[in-house]
Amino acid sequence: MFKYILKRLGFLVLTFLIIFVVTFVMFKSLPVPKPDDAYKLHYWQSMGYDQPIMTQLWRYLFGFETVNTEGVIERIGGVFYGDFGLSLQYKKLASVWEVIFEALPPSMIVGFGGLIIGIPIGVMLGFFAAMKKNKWQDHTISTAVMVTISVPIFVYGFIILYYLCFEWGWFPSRVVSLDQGRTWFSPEVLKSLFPAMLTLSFGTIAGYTRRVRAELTEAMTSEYILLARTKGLTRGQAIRKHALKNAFVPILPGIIASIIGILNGAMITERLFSIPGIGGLFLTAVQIFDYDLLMAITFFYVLIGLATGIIIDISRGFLDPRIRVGSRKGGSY
Amino acid sequence: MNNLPNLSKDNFEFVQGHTRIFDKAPETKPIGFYKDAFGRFKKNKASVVAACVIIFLVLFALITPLVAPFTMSYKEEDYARMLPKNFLSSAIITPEPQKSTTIHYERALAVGVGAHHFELVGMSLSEANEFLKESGLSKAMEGEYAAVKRLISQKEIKKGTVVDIQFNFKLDTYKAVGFKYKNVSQAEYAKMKKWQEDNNLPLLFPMIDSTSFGLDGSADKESAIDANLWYKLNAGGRAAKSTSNSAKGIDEEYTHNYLMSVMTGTDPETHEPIFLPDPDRPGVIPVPEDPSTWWTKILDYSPQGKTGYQVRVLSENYFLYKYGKLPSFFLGTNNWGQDIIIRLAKGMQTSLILSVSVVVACFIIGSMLGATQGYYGGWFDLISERILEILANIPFYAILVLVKFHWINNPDVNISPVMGVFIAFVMLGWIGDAGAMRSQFYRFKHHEYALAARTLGASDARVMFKHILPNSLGTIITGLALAIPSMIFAETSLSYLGLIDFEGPTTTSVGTMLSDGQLYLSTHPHIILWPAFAISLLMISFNLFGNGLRDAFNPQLRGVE
Repeated sequence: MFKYILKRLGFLVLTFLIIFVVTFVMFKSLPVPKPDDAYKLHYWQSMGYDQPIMTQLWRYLFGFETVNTEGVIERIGGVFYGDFGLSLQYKKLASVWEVIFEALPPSMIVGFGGLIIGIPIGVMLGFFAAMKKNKWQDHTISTAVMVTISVPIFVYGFIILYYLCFEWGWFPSRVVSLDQGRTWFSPEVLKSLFPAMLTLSFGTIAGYTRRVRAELTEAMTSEYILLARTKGLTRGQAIRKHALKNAFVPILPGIIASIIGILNGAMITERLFSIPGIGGLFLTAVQIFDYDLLMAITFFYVLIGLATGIIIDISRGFLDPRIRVGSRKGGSY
Repeated sequence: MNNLPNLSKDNFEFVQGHTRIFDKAPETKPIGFYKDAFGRFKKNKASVVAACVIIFLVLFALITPLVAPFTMSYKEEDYARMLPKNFLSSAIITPEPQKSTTIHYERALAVGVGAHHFELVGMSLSEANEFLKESGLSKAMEGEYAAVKRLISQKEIKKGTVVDIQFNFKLDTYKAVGFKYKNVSQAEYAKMKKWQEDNNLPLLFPMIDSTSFGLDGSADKESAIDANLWYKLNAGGRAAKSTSNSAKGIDEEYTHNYLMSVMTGTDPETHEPIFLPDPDRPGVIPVPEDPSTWWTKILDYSPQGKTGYQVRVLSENYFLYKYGKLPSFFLGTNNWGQDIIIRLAKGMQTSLILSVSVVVACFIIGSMLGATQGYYGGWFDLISERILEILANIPFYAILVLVKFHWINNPDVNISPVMGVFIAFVMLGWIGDAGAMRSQFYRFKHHEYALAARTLGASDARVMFKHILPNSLGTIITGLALAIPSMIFAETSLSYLGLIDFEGPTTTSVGTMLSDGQLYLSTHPHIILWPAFAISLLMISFNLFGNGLRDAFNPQLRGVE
């Protein structure tokens, strides 16, 4: 197991490095506007934005030592030193990590709220549909799930904005700003984030209903349930002890993936409700063409995507002892 | 059994004693794989309905631009945010007095009075209300240009000593546009006058002097440029300054409500506007005290410059004069006064063309590589799989940003946004198709029929495209049908987020329409309603249709979502 994790991690680093270089070269093939600000220009020149791409890559990876105005030697940039560069446009010469970490909390709260609302309802609906398989309840739920998955998320956003925020006036249509000592966890801020959470939860509900129903119906028709029933277990006991456990083996890693996925933010929802999250940050970075910020967010996304794959595979082994992750022969993985 | 020997041989004869029997060709038509699938598809009612809806939406997108009364270039801000006018909705509403953010109460009443009783002595705003209270809206409802259609109820509201009457009425939102100021050239002015005489329709109306309007602080700046409000003027042509004057009984000095003249420009030395009397409607020529007011500025900035006229027109007839038809918008108009139905059709064209072409292009590229990978396997497969794995991890948005800045936003490269997005989508989109095709070829390449074909000497290409491909086509077609809605969603999101702007002289996108409409969601939800409804319908139909295809091609997968 340990060896397997190491192997996967090694492969992750390799893949990430290749994507890193490919993406870097692609981004650097774009012309960077020369800043007119003296501070920005200093950074711009230090990072070699007018130099060949390989020089830029070298400086981006290892940074560049320069003597600043006070005569002190300081290093600018350098991915290997944990510095992904400075934001030139969005915030004047702020570290991009700082900018990204500032945008993370609202995204995570909204995403987490969406899951908190969505997963229990989705799992319950899926369970209910599987119990009433091929009855009218099941057909109704399946049709609703089909429609819910098909309808684009901004349509839910518009409906929620129009009714909950404008027509009935239950919630503010914009996120409450963080002045007057409010934090992201202040009640009124959380309240103003609620419509966004609700919007996100629609997709989660539909997705989990569909998956739970599919997995549970499959488990219910399997032979071990028949055996359990023949042994004398009631239907409820068979479901609790056997069907549910087996059905959730593929679903739980999905939940873990969803939880990691909230780091990605939700561009459409964040734009709908003007939430200053990471999705919105990316859009802003594209619009104002903030180089380092754009690259840092891109690498952040790539890293999350790659890490999610590994965590899902590993968690599968922990959740189901029958799955021996990374075994060579005869393993179910 | 005992009777058997008694049976005579004559009782029997050979059924087909004289004819010889041959194999007969089957009388019914053979049922092939696709026919069988089609038969199953037909039984799935929901999918058939979805297919019909898709056909309807495609026809809508194709035919609407041919028959729509207004083109993509049409844009008239006077008629912005108009409600739909069709067989379901007549665009007549009952405005709520408490919620009069969209339609100004007095303004709506003023249209009817202004169009038919403009010869009346003018009024201040409060007097207008008084007048309407006394006449019980009957004056405001007279004639065909009246915006108020029907009085539902009226109730008195006491605010201290003042008794205010609150009307509840039916309002035609198209008529409520009422009057507008226009800056026109001399030639245009002559043309308008001629049109007015030829068609015997009122187009030009006397000007209102609103230079001093709002000096008492009773009105906002927006009201000052509203051509619908009409004010009492004094002998010098000045508007009533304050409502307190009328209370003091010095009302008599105000005689005219309109400037019976047109403004011809500003005096080059004093910068004061010059009015010339309209010979048809003689009136007063006012001398404004403050030339730095709004309309002097408008005239300075107007393209006609100092030779231009500022005129007050009745919008409905001005529209008729300009476009040759009355304003009527099937799905209403948007924020900028553009016709929604034609934009919706064009936006859906963009969505459909882009998504179908991306899916087809991805399929062609992906299937070629996937087929080769799956069929030949070995080292080639192993290496290309690793490369694809890395490619698949490159974020789509990175590619999109590159395409955007390299091509779409670059004036040197002549690539339209649709083409640019097409390239961005295809760059990464084919990887999934390659994987699907690869597994199909892995599955079928060792089947007996492939072996038989190879034994008979068929070339690799023949085995691949004549034998294996048709067998895997069912799965692939299903995949393609289900890929279209996700492409439509991707395209709509991109334009909604403003990452790609499809807006052009003849193109637009549903996402852009949604993003524009969101600004007016609280007051004019109809702007967003139709695009949102159409895109939802399109996605639901395509998903249902794709599910039906999957059930038809792979009956054993039925019901698996």
